[in-house]
Parts: sequence; structure tokens; C-alpha cells
Amino acid sequence: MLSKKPHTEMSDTELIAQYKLTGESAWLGTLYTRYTSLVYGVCLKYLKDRDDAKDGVMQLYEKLTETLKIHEVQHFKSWLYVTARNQCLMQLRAKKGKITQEISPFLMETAPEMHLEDGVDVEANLGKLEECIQKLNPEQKICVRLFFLEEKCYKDIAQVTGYDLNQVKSFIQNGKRNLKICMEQNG
Amino acid sequence: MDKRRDNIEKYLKGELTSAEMHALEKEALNDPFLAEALEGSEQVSAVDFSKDVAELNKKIMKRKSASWTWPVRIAASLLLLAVSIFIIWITLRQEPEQSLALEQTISPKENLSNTQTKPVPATSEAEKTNEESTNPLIAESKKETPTASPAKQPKQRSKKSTSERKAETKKTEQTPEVSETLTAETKIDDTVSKRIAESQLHTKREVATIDPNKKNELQPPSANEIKLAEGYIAAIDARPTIVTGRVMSAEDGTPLPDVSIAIKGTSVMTKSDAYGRYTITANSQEKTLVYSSEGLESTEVKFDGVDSTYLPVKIEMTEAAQEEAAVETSGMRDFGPTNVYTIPAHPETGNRIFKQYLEKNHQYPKEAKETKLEGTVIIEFKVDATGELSEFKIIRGIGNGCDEELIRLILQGAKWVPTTKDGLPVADKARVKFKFELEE
Repeated sequence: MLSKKPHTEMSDTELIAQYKLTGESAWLGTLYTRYTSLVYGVCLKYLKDRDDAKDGVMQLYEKLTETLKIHEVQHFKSWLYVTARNQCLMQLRAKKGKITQEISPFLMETAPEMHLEDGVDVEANLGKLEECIQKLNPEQKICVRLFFLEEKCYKDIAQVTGYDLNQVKSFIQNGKRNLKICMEQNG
Repeated sequence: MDKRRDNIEKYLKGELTSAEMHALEKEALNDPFLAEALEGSEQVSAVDFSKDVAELNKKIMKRKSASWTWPVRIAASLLLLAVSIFIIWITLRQEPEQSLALEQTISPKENLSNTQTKPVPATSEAEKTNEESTNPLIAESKKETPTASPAKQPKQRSKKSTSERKAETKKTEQTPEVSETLTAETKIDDTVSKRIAESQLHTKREVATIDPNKKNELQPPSANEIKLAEGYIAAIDARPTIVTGRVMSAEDGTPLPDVSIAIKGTSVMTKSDAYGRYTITANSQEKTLVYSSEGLESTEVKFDGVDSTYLPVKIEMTEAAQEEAAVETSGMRDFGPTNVYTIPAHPETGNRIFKQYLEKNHQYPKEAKETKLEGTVIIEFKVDATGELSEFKIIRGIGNGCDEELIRLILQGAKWVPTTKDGLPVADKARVKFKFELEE
């Protein structure tokens, strides 16, 4: 049952395969603990409570032990992300029961960004990028430039610009989004 | 992968280098999982987060039936936990010292202010403006930075006159405290935050003036930093401009690395990087950049931006070029009338993918399923300039939970890009239509 590779170096898919083969939850544990901080972070984000979030992480693990036996999971990470989110949302809904809760502002902020799906690589075409950067508003422009061209981290950018960290984050996110729109239009 | 976990934790604790932080942030931009996890992790302190993750990992491992190597892993994570607790402990211990150092520098200010003050006229004026506006941004932005606790101190002192502040600065210079650098930094941070209240746009550029130097001389130079802070205050009227750009060959547009770029008549200069990119901060009234490179006649370009300016420049590569080095500039100004059009609000993923998302993720409400209800729902809502959604209205509904389901999908779906009018985001209304159809 021991494979040639140490389990820590096996890919997610290999671990799932081993788990299916042996039913040994150790494989799953290795796999899942790779993502504990991600899952926990997501749970925290939605559930807003440390204990609830911890429970959420464990529940999801329990769920995995069953699901992975039955289902074919291709991209574990994205699958895990969606599953984790759904579980949190379901829990929220079960708790509050009402649609009004779902309109609460925090859920709006937390709407996921599906950057992955549309494949325009913003960094690919520097020339056009520059044109598009010109069209951003000044805050976005400076933050985007510092982030993508100067490769500074949020903290450094906050320091250089004097914006607070969250502003920097949103300027970059929005700036990137606008850039993408601009690039798509011209491209 | 295990490394990643550590990275998130290290990121939260501020243990990563700037480059590593940037890498993680960039990854988060493309990875909603990571982005959400980071967002969520802000709910608790870095210590708690690490602690919880370690606890969870332990728990997960416990559930395993197999025994091999797990004790080792558990031990490792316990060790990790111990180390992180130790680090936190150290950090916590240091904080009170910092505040203390600040207090010390405050106390002797009265004596000093009489003897050592060299008031700068521009400064006192600027300071007054600052004092009038109690700036909420200070508190907010401070929360995020590691200098959080000392930052509170300067805020309380904001009532003090410029001369006193300068005296304090001087004092800091003489105090051989460990926290010296930190104190000075805090001071800069503090001034910085205040400037925001005064003039949003100019501030960041001025701060940018400080930053590169600050970074280069990171460790011992508190005295330098202080000088910079002073210089920066004095330069408030000079309105520095950040010029960013690329140097390219006029012939074929290839980037030119290693070209020196200097502000004419000053010693301020920088070099273009491997991609021809450069950033330079112009403090003075002089608004001419001189581009020079070995074997090249230097080229001068004027810029007139009051704000940050983007200045891509093409340089003729012919080595004999004497006077007629061809220079092309574009995008000299910030607010050019380049984009006069309206883009309606839309999901950032694009409509097609958003539609797929709706189709894939909608959960047919139970009641509707039972009654075999089908039909089209139209929801209208407001997308404000920041992309936030509100004021959901059912334009056409079919009831039995379907309408609510669509609202839920919209809320939980992709972010929305607000309507853009003449390049500026504005609040607008948007509609989403979706047809509920039963399968089979």
C-alpha cells in the first residue's frame, strides 16, 4: 500500500486515486490538509464565526470521505472551492431561512470573482496594456501600475500611495477588471 | 501545497518579503479560492488563524486510521504552532516597548522646541489644515499595518504645533533606541495619512517620493528618514509628479534597458529596467526629462502632467543622432478625452459565462418543482459606482421561490462592473432575465 513516492509529494489526483483504492483515510487527510487554510478562510468569510468555521472545515472533511469514494473529481481544488462555498451558503440559509438574509451586503461583497474562466491574460500584451492603463481613473492607474509593472505588494503600495490596504486592494481589483474590459474591446 | 498553507499564514503574519507577498496577491487575483480565503482570514488575527489551522489539521489527522508517519506530521505541526506562538509572543512583547519609546520622545519636547526649531513656512500652513480635519482614514489604514500600535500615539499628538513636531523628530534622531526606525516610520506614516485628508491626489505622489529612499536605506537610517520627512513637508507646494513610462527604440519599438532618465537640472535620476520601464519622481518645477544611454545622444522630453504622468518615449537608436533624435510621446496627460463612451453594467465574467453560471448553479425551488412551474423571471437591480448591487426588484416573477432564487444567484454570482460613462463608473440599473425550465 505504501507507494514509491512519499505521500506529501503526490499530486491531488494521485492521492484521490489511492484513497479510492484503499479506502484509507490517511490519503484523504494528506490531501485535505493541503487546503485547510483555504477552506478555513472561506468558511470564516461566509460564516463569520471561528467555531462555526472550524465546524465547517470538519464537516466538509467528513463529507469528502463519502463523496470522493463515489464521485469522480477532476480538478480537486476548484471542486473543493465550490463545495466549500456551497456548504457555507447552505448553512447560512438553513440558519436564517429567509431570502432577506441573502441580500445582506456581505454576501454581495463576497460574490466570487470568476477570473479563471475568461482567459484574457492581462499581462500578456504590455503594449495594449499601457494604452488601457491610460484610461483608468488615477487611483486605479497608479495602483495597477505599481502592482503589475513595479510588482510591489499591497502593503508597499499602501505605503507609497497613502491609501489604506483595502482601498489598494479594490483599486487593483477594479483596475484589473477595467483593464480586461478595455483589452477585450480593443482586441 | 503544504508550502502554500504556510504562505497564507506567513502572509497574514507579515513574515513574507515584498516579492513573496506580491506573488501571493497576484495569485489571489486569479484564484477566487485563495482570494476568499484571504478575505475570510481577516476576520481573525493571524495568530488565531494559524492556531485554528493547526488545530484543524491535527483533528483531521486524528480521524485517520493509518498510523504511519502521522505522529511525525502531528509533531511537526505542533512544533509549527509552538514556533508561531513564540514569534507572536515576541511580537507582542515588543509592542509595548515601541509605545514607550514614543512617550519618551514626546516628553522632552518643550525644552527642545525652544532651542532647536527651524520652522518652515510651508509646513506650518500645511499642518494647520491637517489639524482641522480629524481624519478617519488614519485609524482605518493603521489597522492594517504592522506599525499599528505606535500609530495611535502620533494621532493623539496631532494637535501639537509643527515646531514641536520637529523637535520630537530631532529628539528621535538622538535616541539610540531599537525602535528608533519604527518611530520615525510611524511619523512618516502619520503625516502621510493626514495628507490624504488634505489633498487626496497629490499626497500619494509625495509619499512616493519618500518611499524609494526609505526602502534602500532600510536599516539604520532613522536620521535620514527624518530628513526626508522634513524635506517632504517642505516640498508640499512643489507638487511632485510621478512619471512612469517605457523607453523604446523608435525603430522597432523594442524596449531599451539601462537608459538613464534624469530630471533636467537636478541630480534625480533613474534607469530603465530590462523591459525599458522606469519611474521617476519630479519634485522640482523643472519638467524636462533627459534620456541618455551610452553611445546615444541624450534626448530631452518635456512633460506637463500635474498628476502622475505616463510617458512612453521612443528614442532613435542611430548612434550618430545628434540633434534630431526623434522622440514620440503619447499619453502625456492624465485626464485625456480619450474615452467618451458608455459601457453598460455587466457581470465581470461577461454575459455568456454569467448565463452559464446561472444555468449551472440554479436550484429549482422545491415548491416550483412540485407544481411543475416554469417561466421567465426578470430581476432589476441597482449597480452602484463601486459595483455593489442593491434595490432588487422583480420585474417579472413566477413566484414559488423562483424569483428569490434568481436574486440569490445574482448576488452570489460574479461581481458586477458598474456602468462606465466617459470612463467614469456611475450608478445604474441592470436587469437579469432567466428562464426556469424543468428537465425531462
